Formats: sequence, C-alpha cells, structure tokens
Amino acid sequence: MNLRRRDFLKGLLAGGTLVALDVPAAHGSGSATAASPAAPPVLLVTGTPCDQEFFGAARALLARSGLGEPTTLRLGRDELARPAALLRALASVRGRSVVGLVEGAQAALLPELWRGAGIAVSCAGEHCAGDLPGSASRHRLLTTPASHGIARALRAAVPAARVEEQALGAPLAGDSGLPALVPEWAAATGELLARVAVGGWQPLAPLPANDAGPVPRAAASRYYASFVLRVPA
Amino acid sequence: MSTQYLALPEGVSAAQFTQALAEFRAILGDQHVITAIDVLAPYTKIMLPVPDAQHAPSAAILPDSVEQVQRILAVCNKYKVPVWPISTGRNLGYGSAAPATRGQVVLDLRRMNRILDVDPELCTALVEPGVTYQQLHDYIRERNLPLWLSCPAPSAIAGPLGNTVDRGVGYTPYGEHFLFSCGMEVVLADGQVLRTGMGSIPNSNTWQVFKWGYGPSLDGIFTQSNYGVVTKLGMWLMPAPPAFKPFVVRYPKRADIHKIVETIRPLRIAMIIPNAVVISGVLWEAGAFLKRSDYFQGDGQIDEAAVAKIMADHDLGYWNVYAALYGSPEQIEVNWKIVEGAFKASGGDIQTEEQAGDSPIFRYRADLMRGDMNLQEFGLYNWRGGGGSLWFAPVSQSRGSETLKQMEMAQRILAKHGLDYVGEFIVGWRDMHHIIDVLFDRTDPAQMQRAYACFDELLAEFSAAGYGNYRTNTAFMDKVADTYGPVKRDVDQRLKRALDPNGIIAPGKSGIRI
Repeated sequence: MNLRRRDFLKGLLAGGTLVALDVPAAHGSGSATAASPAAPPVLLVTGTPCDQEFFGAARALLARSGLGEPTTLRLGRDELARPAALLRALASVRGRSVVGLVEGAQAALLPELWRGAGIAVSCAGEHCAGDLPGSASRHRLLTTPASHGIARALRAAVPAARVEEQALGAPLAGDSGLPALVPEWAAATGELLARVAVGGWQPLAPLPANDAGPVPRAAASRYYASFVLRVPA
Repeated sequence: MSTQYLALPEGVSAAQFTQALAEFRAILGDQHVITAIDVLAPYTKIMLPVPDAQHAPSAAILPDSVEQVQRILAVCNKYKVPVWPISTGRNLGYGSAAPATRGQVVLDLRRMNRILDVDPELCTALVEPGVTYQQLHDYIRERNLPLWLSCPAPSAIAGPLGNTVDRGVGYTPYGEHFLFSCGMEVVLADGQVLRTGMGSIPNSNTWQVFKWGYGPSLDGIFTQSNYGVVTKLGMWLMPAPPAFKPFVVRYPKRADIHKIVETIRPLRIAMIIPNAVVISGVLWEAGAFLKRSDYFQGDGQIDEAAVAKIMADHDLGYWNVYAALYGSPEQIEVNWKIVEGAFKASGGDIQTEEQAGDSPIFRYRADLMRGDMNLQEFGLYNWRGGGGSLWFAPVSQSRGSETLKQMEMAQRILAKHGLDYVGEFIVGWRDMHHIIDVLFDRTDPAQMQRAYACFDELLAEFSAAGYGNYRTNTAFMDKVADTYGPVKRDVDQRLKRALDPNGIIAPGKSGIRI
C-alpha cells in the first residue's frame, strides 16, 4: 500500500504546525522494540540510487519471514526537506518498525527528528560508496543490543569494505553463525536491517575496531544513511 | 562498565545511579525517564571527529515544569549526578544533544514548549526552552501578527532559547540574538528561581522591555555557561516592515573580500544596511546545492580550477554578499541609491530579488533575512558527505585587511589537512563572525584524524594571532577556554563553585568545572 495520498490528506488536516509524537510509557526504562511484533515493517523509500538493491533484499527477507506484504512509505524531495511533513509521515505508522534508506543531507536532518518524536533506533548506518555497483565502500553502524554484530555480517559479506560498529549497551551475544548475504553492501544491509526489524537477527559480539578492515578510497562517492526505527504507538 | 546503562556519570556507581533514576521517575513518571538504549540512541549522535562514546549520555529526563526542574536538581545534588540541559538539542556541528562528557544525564527541556506571551504592540515574546522557531513562526502567522522572527540557519527545528543562550545569530536586523533578548528565568543549582532584569520585581510588567534591572546585570553569565538552567527567555521581535528588499552582490576574486568589507562597514555602522549581512564564500554557496565529487575527486583540498568551474557553471561569485533593506518604500528607495552606488563603485555585480528569479539559493538567503523557515543549509552536508561537521568560529574586526588575513590563514591550514575552506562572514556592526564549516567524512578514520588535527591547528594559530572563537563544539571547549587565558578561567570557576558547588549542571560546558 502506498501511503502518500493518505499522508497528504492528514497533512492538510493537521495544518503547518510541527507535530510532536507523544512518548508512550514503553519509552522509559524498557526497550520500545517490542510493539506490534506481528505487523510487517514499513519500508521508507526516498528514491536513492541504491533503493533497488537495498529494498529488494529487505522485501525478499520479509517475504521469507511470512509477515505479509510490507507497507511502503514513499517520501519525495519536498517532504524530506520539511520536518513537519516528515513527522506527519512517521505519525502515520505509529507502533510500527520502519526500515529506511536516505541519501546525503537527509541523513543529517532526519535523525534530528527521531529524538523529539520519541522514536527508538534499533540500528543506524552511515555508508559511503562509489557510484558503480561493486565499488569501494565504507560503513559506520550504530547498533543496540538487539542488533549487535550486524557489522560482522556486513564485513563478511563484503570483504573489501571498511565496516565499523559502534555498539551501544552491553552485548547479549549468542554464537549463531553469520547469514549468507549478497556480496554487495546495499543488498546485504537491506537484508540485515529487515532481519533486525522483524526480530530475526540473533545478536553477535560487536565487530572489534581492529577488524574493521582497510579504508578503501571511494571516488565519486555517494553517502547514505540506513536505519531501523520503532515509532511509538 | 555497567551492563544496565549506556554509560554512568563519573564517580557514580550503578547502584547510586539506579536510586537517582528512581527519584527522577517519582518526579517525572516512568515514561519521561529514558534509559532504554534504543530510545537513548538518538541522543548519542554527534558530528565531531571524536569517538561517539566520549559523549554518550547515561539517561535522558524530560521535565514539564519549572517545579520539576527544581526537584530534579535536588536529586542531582543528593547523588552528585550531572545533567546536561538542552532545549531542542539541534546545535549541529557544535555537539548536537550529546553532553560534553560521557555519562551526564541529558536534561531534555523539549516538553516545556509553551509560548507564554507575544505582545504585538511592544513586539516582545516570552518562551520556554522547548519552543521551536517553527512553532513561534506558526503562532505569529496564525494570529496574523505584524512581527518577524530572526532565526539561525537550522530555523524550523532549532529554538530561540537554546540559540540565544549559546549566543547564536540570525540574519535580520535582530540577528545578534542575545542582544535582542530581554529577561531570563533561571533555576539555580540549589533550586532557587532567579528572574533577571526587571523580572525580580513582584508584579512587574517591564520584564520583557527593560534589560538591566538594578545592580549587576546577570543575563550574560547564564549564556554559554553552566551556572543555572534557563527556563524562560524574553525576546524582542522585529515589527514587520512595510517593505523588504533583499539583494546579492557577487565578486569574482578571492582578494575581493578586502574591498567588500571596506564597502559594507560604513553602511552597516550607520545602519543604512540594518541586517546581519552574510559574505558567503563560493564553496559555502555551492555546498548548499552541489556535491564536491561532481567537480573534484582528489583527496586534498579542492583546487582552483574546480572552484572556477563551479563559479562559471552556476554564476556564482567567489564571494556572494547577501543583505537587505527594511522599512517604508520611501526609506528603501533612498537607501537603495546609497547602497547600489557603493557596491557598484566597488565592482560588485548586484542582483535584486526580481533579477534572481526563482533561484533556490537566493530564496534560501532571502528567507533567512526575513526570518522565514528554510532548511536549505542542510545541503552543506552533501558537499563532502559522511556526516562530519565542526564549526570553527573566530571573531574578526570588520576591516578588509583583517578579513583577508583570517581567510588566508584558514585556507592554508585547511589545505594542509586536505580539507576545503567552506566559510562565510556574518557582519555585525563592527565585528564579523567568521564561520568555517570543517566538513569531513566520519566513515573515513583518516579524515576524522585530519579534521581533529586541523581544528586544533586552526585554534592554535588563530589564538596566537590574537583571534578568539565566539563559540565552539563540545570536543574543544577546554581548548577554546584556554585561549582566553587563566584569569578568565579562574573567574569562571569561582562563579561555578559559588553557584553550583557540587558541579551538577553541565560540567565541562565552555570548559567550566568546579
């Protein structure tokens, strides 16, 4: 289902005022990632050059998980530049997980809205990659206990990539093996984030800093931010 | 390391912190005390070239009232738990919402977001910390009040209280925000509530119209400091002018900065040009809508050939001066003749709003000069990409020779570290804020190191030349404080010990600790 029309109508009704989402009780000491486990995640699609690989892999994982067809929330350039529109869009998926990929400056603006909206972040990535498929790439992944170790899986899938993990919180590491992933960063990241969003990721010990790999130069680079969010109900 | 918390305050055990949190919850309710790591994660985001863990908070707490702030500070004193107050926390490039040091509890004041008063006759407002510029803008528009705001570039998502107490600036005639503030309410570390200026007089109706009150004027010590938690701010708003004429003047050469400043200074001091003029360097101008990699793929500083091509492709000057005239049409007509004559004589290429057409870059600057919301400046983060940003912000005299000297120093040091000069000057009456965005890629550890070393060198060389920063980010607060000398640091510390003997409010802010 495409939510753009509904969001537009809601936006008209809400007027131009910045909408703040109420912070529910689940946002106190307990994690907010337990809400609506059966609902399929929402895919936040913004038209980046890597959408096909990233969301294709995410959709494939979600199809295998049997949770049904994910909702797609499409945001255009104008909406991405307006905080009120972004918050209205996020308000339309209350209680859901959101898997998203944005490019460039939106990677700076969008996370600024999460804090004010009481949104939980299961994991978030910053990615630098060349324009061509298979070109050199660098990644910084912020993980929480539910997503610890996804950097290991990305590093294993794309051995030439530089991958750093900033793991928040104490590890709940298990000893499950690494999943087999497509050896391309956007597809691998899309699948990993979809796994986290449906609770299908078995946390591993975070990737140590000295295993981050070489630092490839990425000429004509593009920059992306990926994330798994939980919007409060 | 605790297994339960993201971090712990320095010198506080997990057991003590658990007790403090229980008392915070009793005051605020469970939902307004955040320790869940995934909800706390957005508070950890920084754009600085240092490890995120260095600035990780232990928790975030969200009061809704002054009384709750007072009770929170009592708990902080009891357990020696430090809090890092934020209003909206959008101090991007200066540290965002994350504390200066690891383990502080973020005191997030965004729920205190009431617009308490807007007086359209006296042109004043009184707001709480969580009020955003967008919120105040909407309030004024919905009521059709004849008032204009002055906002910084992150406009919509930032807030007037936070920006003013960090001594931020905007681009209208009211652009020096602290200068146009009038009256504060401050919760002190011992829980007392101080109202500055006329606010201490019971039943006063002059709190927002007369700054000084009686005896020492105290407002300044609550800016860029940690002597109290500012919970209300009075501010002066600009009456909407009958007419507004924004314009840009472009100059083709780097050395033109000298004559630009010599041209602007007398117009600015005489208030013929009344607003905070911006002299935007070509890469700042280009960075708002272009990507560096489209013109230059090297690892070092962008070369002059690429800069020249950007200028030619997009009709940009090496320097691009944005200013505006405000007032009645008759006033503007008279002043425009003076201004146009001065800029033409200096060799500038002038474009008015009509001539600029629908240029988004002109629109972005014109919006800021009329206090409208516009987030175009976020485009700068596309220039290099990778999420790294450090603002280096030395003050310069409004004198051409000084401006040129600062610009050349900065460009040379940035080049040494392979970073671009993305800079602008914001022209006050006699001073200029020289704002340089040191942009770098946080996915590249080598760039992180270079950015840190570059900022360090900028700071050392500029201070050796007698130039001080007017503001800085949380990673460099001690170093910038050192540039102002030991006596200043000693007085700052003595004030801190007197007003906050347990050091519970924002230790490390501006380098100030007990």
